[in-house]
Amino acid sequence: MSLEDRLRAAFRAGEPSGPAPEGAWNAIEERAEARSRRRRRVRWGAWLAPVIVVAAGVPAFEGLTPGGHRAQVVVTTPSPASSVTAPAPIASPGVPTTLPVKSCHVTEGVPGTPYPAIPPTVTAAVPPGMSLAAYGGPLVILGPPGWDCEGTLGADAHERTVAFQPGTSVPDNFISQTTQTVEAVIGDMPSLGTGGPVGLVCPFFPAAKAAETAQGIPCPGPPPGENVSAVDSSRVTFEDGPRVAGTGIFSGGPNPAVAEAFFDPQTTAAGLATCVVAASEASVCGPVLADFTARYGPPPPASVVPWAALPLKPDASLFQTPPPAPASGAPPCTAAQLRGQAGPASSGGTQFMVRQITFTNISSAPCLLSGSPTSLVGVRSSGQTVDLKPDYHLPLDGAAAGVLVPGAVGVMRLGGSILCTTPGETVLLPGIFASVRIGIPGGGTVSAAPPSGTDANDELSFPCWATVSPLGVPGPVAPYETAAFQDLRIAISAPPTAVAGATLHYRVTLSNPTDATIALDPCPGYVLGFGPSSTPSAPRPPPAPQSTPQSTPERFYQLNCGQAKPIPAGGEESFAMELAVPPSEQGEVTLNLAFASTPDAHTPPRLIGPNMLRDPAHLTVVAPA
Amino acid sequence: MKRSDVETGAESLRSLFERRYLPMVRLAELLLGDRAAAEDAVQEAFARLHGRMEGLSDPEPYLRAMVVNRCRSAHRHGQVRARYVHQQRPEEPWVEDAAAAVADHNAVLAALRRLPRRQREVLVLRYYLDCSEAEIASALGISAGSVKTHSARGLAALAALLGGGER
Repeated sequence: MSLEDRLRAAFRAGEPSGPAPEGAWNAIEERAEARSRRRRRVRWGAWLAPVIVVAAGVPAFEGLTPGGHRAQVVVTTPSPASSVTAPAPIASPGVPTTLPVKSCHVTEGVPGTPYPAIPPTVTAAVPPGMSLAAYGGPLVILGPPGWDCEGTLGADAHERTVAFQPGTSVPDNFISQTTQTVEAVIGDMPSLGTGGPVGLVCPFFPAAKAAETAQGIPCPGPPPGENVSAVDSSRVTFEDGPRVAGTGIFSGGPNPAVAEAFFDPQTTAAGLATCVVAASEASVCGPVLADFTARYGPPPPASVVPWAALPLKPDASLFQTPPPAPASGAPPCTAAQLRGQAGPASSGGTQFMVRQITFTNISSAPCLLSGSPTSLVGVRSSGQTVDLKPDYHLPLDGAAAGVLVPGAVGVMRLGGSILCTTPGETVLLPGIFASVRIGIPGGGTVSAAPPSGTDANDELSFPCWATVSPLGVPGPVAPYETAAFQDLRIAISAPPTAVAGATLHYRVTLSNPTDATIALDPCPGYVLGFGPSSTPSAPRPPPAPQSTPQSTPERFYQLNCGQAKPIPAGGEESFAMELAVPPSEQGEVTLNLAFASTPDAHTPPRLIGPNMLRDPAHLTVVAPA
Repeated sequence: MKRSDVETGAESLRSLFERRYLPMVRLAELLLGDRAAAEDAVQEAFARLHGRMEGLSDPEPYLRAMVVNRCRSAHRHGQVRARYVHQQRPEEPWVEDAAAAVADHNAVLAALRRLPRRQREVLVLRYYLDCSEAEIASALGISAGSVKTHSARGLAALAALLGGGER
């Protein structure tokens, strides 16, 4: 039976039969009715506020019902201080302070809609020397003392609280922009769901954008002129300068709008706090916005070891035995001097396999084992041969060019993926071979086969590409070979999209599944890289340097162990990571990371550890806007 | 449903439900590996179609896309646990052929579960719903070329995972 037929049979075998269950229809009707009720409330709520302006390019929020509590028109003089940049809304350290909450009038989309009682007091972090007040209804926000405030509770539970300069007003444009001079602080939280909160923040968070796009709702990028910077994976701050009509509520007027947005992809909860004040008053914005996010946003991520670009450097102190003898004085090994054998496949994952090929010097003379294999041919049990045309991306794994004395064993590594990954097409190398013939740089070919008695799962299988390392002599064993960090599990958390040519920010979390604390000593190096989509295989490191073995490929780095703590049993440690996305990268890719050894002067770094190559992150690289 | 109904957009949600509810549940189950979550996703998709049928000349692609999207959403929100392997048991375990067939189905579904999401979606749409490449592309919001690529890679991966040998 063909694979396609097996798929069809498996898919159909569990197919429910009989008529569609009436209970399901009832459930659908109930859901539809609930949605209809919600829409009716929304429309009714909208009637309270006949003027709803949908900003260009900003999706309308389903059920945005700001209510109709109109205030007076602002008549303040436009601020000339347009060139002053509003501060980044990161609060300076504040002192926990109990503040009374001024109760704001709340306009309800559906009169009588319950909402949490406004607390009489709240505790907020107030920077020393700064005076702040709290305004409640239905959201609690901070602002300068003595301001007026209004609240809105939409029919769909959209909540907004606005505190504003007394004697002035706030526009009744409850979406975003205005040309008026506004001095206000606005806290805004739509009800959950795509089109509402997700739409509110979708320009800033890839997960939000993906959710919107999946529902067919356009999500344009941040408006021109909006200066966005990420705080962490769930928070961004941005600034709409004077006259920049951006995402900030009431942006576009003479005063800059500084804002902080958050998004929790798990709950789709999102919020946006905007602080629109004269630039000279902008110091208030930091603590105000931070308070809003702390009050309503997702919990801040656990402490993350900051990113540090630490290229992996040789560390001679780790090597307790001398490196192999210098490769000089002996002639190159020829095939006639060598007997090959294929070792078992070892793999950190299920889709990329590496095996070691050993070469025993069966002659009576030493010879120099070095260089890359000149060819790689698969030999079927029938004798048919296939040129595997390997690439040369596999490091030598702790070995280096060296003299192979009689009886000694040299090595080469041979890897391949069982998934076919050539971009744009599928190339299936006819896969299973009884042996391989390896072209020896010194001349001739050596045949290598698995030991007799190898079971079917350990045959030489190269359905897709094959990759080889140079030939060499095993070097000394360094402490990292047995380092406890190899027991750590690696997980990558990356946004679903990355921009070609830009820096990708992501996170690597090491978790300790053992019963003992694991210190990052020696400090693991790592190699990371993109692979094609659906290829959770090895990050393909650059070719092992041959002419300058002391150099370290750029993509090998060391974790920022200096700022990491020992990882207790069952604990974990997260590391902020950065990666320059190649400008040529595009489409769906995987991002992978594996521990790498620390090199010595003769050995390039190599992938180590049983936990490499697991759970790559899948993401889509898009062209820059 | 009569073809003319499709052409005039006259199909009711009820008739669409009767015709396509169970296949959609199976589709969602294959994507999610969880029958309860699948039913939830499909019911939500149907509920969202409520009141929108008039504007749809052919609601089925729309329904299909919504089900796939709901499945992705359920996955993102961690609402499902893969339970492929234990869901199918031979009704007559003493019948050797039936047991072997079920074992093979389980193996196929377990291998399917290990594929990347997009490949899984393409294979299920293609080999369960017999969707054309254009229909799959429409449901997943990708190009027909990507459908081909994901399909080929998915089959290759399945073959490898199932130990199917050379292809």
